[in-house]
Amino acid sequence: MLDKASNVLAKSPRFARRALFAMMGSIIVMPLVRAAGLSVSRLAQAFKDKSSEEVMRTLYGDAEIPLSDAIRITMTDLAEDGTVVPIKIETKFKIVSAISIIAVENPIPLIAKFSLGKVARGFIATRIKLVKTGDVVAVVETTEGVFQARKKIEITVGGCDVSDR
Amino acid sequence: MMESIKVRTTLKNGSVTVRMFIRYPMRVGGGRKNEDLYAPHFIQEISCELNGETVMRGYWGPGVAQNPYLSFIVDNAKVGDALAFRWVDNRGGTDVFETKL
Repeated sequence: MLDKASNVLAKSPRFARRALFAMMGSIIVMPLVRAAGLSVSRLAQAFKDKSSEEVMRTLYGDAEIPLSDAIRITMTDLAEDGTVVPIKIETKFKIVSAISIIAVENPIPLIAKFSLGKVARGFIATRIKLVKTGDVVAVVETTEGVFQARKKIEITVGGCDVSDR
Repeated sequence: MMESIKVRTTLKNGSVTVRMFIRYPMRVGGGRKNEDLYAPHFIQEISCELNGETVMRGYWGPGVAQNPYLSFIVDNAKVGDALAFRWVDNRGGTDVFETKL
């Protein structure tokens, strides 16, 4: 539909305004349709939140999450390409039930949440996208409580404003 | 979307380091040129089972990089244990990969 609209837009200026309205309509309707399909869970809401504070509130409530030295985020200080940034999160906690990765500056700050079984160790390594220079937060749920660690990463080329990534 | 998952495992002293490589676009969406082509397309849920018990379940947004890589460590593993990997994307697509240590 959008494709058609933009074709019309390109070919004939007469229909430009109508096409524009059609385009705007589908942009507004689309997220609503998508939201209806998802389960109304906290996690789904967390992926819709626009700021890292909101994400943390949705996932962990209002209480402030203490910083902990027992969590180590291993990743580069300066990433030239924000589309692929390796990250490794290690914890010294005995039993870790979940690890969340949040990029403060990303349009969708919550990158991933991993829930770990009893036999899985508190360790996750993956590759993430970062849109611009900012903090990356690792929130770790343990039997002793919820803790976080932060690390500032500098980005030269962002990873989210590229349309095909 | 067959055979999108590749897994390498290293068993050492009873704990296994799993490294997953998934061939997948992980698109954010929001491109202006062609909405169909650039619509969001990403893995939403990924899981690993050891002998039928879920040891890791990941909930992903589009912030995970293209062709995702994921590594984690599972204790109490031995030779012959069955590992099953599964992902589900935001369009209902899915893929499964099973292996033995």
